[in-house]
Amino acid sequence: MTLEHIFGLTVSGLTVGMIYALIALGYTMVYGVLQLINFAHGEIFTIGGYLATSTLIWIGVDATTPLSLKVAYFGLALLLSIVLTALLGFLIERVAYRPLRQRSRIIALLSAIGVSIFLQNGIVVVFGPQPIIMPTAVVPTGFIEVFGARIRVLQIAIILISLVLMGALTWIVKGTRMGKAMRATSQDREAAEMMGIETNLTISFTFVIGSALAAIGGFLVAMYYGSLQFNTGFLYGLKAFTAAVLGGIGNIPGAVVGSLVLGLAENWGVGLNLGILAWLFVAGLLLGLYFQFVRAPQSRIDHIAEEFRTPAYERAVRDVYRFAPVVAVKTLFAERTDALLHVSAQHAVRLTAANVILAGLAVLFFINGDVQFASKWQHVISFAVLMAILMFRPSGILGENIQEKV
Amino acid sequence: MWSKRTHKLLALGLAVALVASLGLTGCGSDETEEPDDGGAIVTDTVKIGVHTSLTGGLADYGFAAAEALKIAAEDFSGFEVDGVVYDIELVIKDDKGEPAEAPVVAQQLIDEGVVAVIGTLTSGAANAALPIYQAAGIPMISGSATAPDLTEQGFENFFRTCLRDDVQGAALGEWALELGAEKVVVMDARDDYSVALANEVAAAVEAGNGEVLRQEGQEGDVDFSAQVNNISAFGPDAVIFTGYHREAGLLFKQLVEAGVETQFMGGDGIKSDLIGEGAGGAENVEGTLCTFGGFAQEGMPGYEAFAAAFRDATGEDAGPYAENNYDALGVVVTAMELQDSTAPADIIAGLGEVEFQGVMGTLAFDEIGDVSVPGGGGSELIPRFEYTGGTWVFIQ
Repeated sequence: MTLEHIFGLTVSGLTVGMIYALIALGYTMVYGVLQLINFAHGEIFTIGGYLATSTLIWIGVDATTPLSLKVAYFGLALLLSIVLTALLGFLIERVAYRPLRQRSRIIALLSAIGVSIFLQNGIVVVFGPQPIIMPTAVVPTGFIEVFGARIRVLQIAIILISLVLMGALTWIVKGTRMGKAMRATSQDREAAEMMGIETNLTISFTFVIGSALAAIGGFLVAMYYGSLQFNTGFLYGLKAFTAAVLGGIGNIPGAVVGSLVLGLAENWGVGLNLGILAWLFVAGLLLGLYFQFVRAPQSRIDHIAEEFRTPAYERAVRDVYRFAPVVAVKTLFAERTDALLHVSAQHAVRLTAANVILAGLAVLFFINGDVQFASKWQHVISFAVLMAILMFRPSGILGENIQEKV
Repeated sequence: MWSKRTHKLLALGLAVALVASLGLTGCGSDETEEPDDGGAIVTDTVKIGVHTSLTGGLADYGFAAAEALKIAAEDFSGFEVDGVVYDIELVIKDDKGEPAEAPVVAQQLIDEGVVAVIGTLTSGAANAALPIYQAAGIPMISGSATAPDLTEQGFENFFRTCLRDDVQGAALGEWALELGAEKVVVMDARDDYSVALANEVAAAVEAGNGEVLRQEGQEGDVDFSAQVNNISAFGPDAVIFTGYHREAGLLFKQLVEAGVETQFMGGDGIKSDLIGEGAGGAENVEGTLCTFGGFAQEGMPGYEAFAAAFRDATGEDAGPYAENNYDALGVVVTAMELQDSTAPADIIAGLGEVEFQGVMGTLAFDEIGDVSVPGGGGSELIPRFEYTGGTWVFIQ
C-alpha cells in the first residue's frame, strides 16, 4: 500500500464527489423549498451533458482548432446547455409539479418519476440509444505527478470549478434578495407569501439554479469519461440523491459534505487495505467515546429543569453514561425511575453498543490488514456507510437545517 | 389553467383517435389464405419469435441478429411440412439485454403463438427467460448466449449455435500466457456471461503459473477509478476485461489516462468497432486483442455470400454473431422438415437429430444442446482478433 496509491484514490474520490455534489445540490435545494424529491433531476443532468456535447460535435471541433477558438466554443456549448437545461427545469416545475402542489406529496412524487421516465425516453427518441461521444480534441489531456500519482489537469479543473460554483451558490443564498426569499419560502411558504414574497417565482428560480448546476455537472462528466448514454443520469441521480440524504436533505453544505463522503467511500472502500480502513474506525471510536463520556451527558444535564437540578441527580445522569451498561441496565430495570434517566439509559446502551461494534470492527480490520474488499462490493460499501450514518444520525451528517433549510 | 371546454374537446379527440385505431387494427389482422380445392398448393405462415436486444448497451449486436434473421426468414420461407408450404413470420421483441425484462418478453412471444424462439442475445437474459419457455414447451435457440451453465441445467428446450465460454476463456488465458504475461488482471462486469468467462480465464492463467488480480465492474458504470488505482498498483502485464465493449472502452480509456501501460485484452463482448469511440479515440485501444465465441469466419463455407447479402440488405457490415443467428433459424426449419411438423414439441425432438449445412458449416447439437464442433476440438478453434486502425482485424 503505497502513498501514491492512497493519494490517487483520494483525488479520484474527490473528483467523483464534486460531480455528485453538483447534482446533489439540485436535489437538496428543491427539497428545501418544496419538500419534494425531484426524481427527474438525474435526467436533467444527462440532458445538460448531451446538449453541450452535441453542440461541440455540431460545431465540429477537432485537433486543428486553435486554442482560443476552442475555449470560445467550449464556453458557447456550456452556455447553450445551461440556458436550455435551466429552461427545461423551469418547464418541468411549471407543468409537472405546480398543478399538483396542493395535492398530497405522493402524487407529486409519482409525477416526478413519470417526468424522469418521459425524459429518459425523450433522449432516446432525439439522440438515439447509442452513447454520445465527446470530441476528444476539447478534453485537456495534461497531467501532473504528485507523490508519484498521476493527477489529471481535468480532475483539478473539475474540483476547482465545483468549488467556485458552490461559493457562488452560497453567495446567492446568503447574500441576495432572491436567496433571502428562498430561505423564507423554505421555512414557511404561507408566511413568506403573506410577507409579500412571490413564492412561485422563488420556486421557479430554485429549479433554474439547480438545473443549471446539473447541466454543468453533465458537461464535466461527459468530458471526464468521454461519453454519456441516455440512462447515465439514473445511476448518477441515485448516487447524488444518496449523497444529499447522507449530508442532510435540504441542507446545502450537507449536500457537499455527503457527496465527498460518498465519493471517498466508493474509492477508499475497495482500494485500500483493511489495515488502513481500520484507522477510520479508530477515528469513529474516538468520536463515539467523546460523545458517550462528554457530549451526551452534558446535553442531558442541560435539559434538567432548574427546580430539579441537584448535584446528586446530575451525578446519576453522568453515571448512566459513564458506567453503561451496568448502571444503565440497572436503571432500565428499576421499578420506578424518572423519564430523563430512563431515556438517558437507553441512549447510553445504544452508544456503548455502537462503540463496541466500532472497536470490534477496528480490531477485525487490523487483524486482516493485508486484505482488500473485492471491487464488486463498491456499491454495497457506499450504502453500508449511508445506513451506518443514518442509524446514528437520522437527519444526516450535518442534519436538516431546521431554521434555514435552503 | 385550461377551461372546461378545452378539456371536453380533448377528451372527444382522444375518444375519436381510440376508436379509429381500434378500427384500423381490426382491418389489418385478416391475412390467412383460404386453401383452394384439391390439388392446389396449401400455404400457411409459421411464427418464429426473435428475442433479442435492440436497445440498450448491446443494441449493435441485437441489430446484427435481427437483420440476419430477416434475411434468413426470406431465404428459408417456402419450406414444405406435411403437404403445406410455410412462410416464416418473424415476431421481433426487445429485452434491452436485461435479465429483468427477459421473462416479460418471453411471455409476450409465447402469447403471440410462436412455435420456436431465436434468442436471447445475452446469457443473463437467457437464464431469466429459459424457465418461461421451458414451461410453455417452446424451443429456444440462441446464437450468442455463451455462458456454460445454460446447457448444463437440464433444459431440453435450449440449444445454441455458438461456442461456450469455457472454450473461449481457456483460449483467452492461454493467449495472455503466450504473450509472456506473468501478472494478469481479470475483470468482469458482474453478469452471468462475464463472470463465467472471467472464471475460465483466471483458471487458465493460474494453471500456467500466472499471477491473477480479480476486479469487478458493473454494467452501466462509467467511473472505474477505484479499479484503475488497484490495477495501477498491481502493475500487470495484461488486463483482460470479459464484459462488453461500452464498459471496456471506458475502463481502457481511464487506464491509459492513469498512465498504466499494459496489454488490453477481452472476450467477444468487446468485439465491436464502437469500442474506439467509447475509449475516447481509437488510438487509446489500438492493439487491443480479443477472442470470439463463434467459429472463425474465414473458415466458413458460406460466410462471404452471407456477408454480401447482409450488406445488400442493410448497407452495413455483418456484426458479431450475425451468422450464428442466421444458422439458428436454419436448424429450426430443418428440424420442422425432419419431423414433418410445426409443433414446438416436435421441433425440440427434431433439433436433437438435426444436421444442417449452414453458413458456418455442418451444424449438429450434442445431447445437452451445445453445438457440436465438426471433428471435436477445443480452444484452438477460437479465432483471435486485434483492434487496428478503428476496426477488429482477424489474425488467427
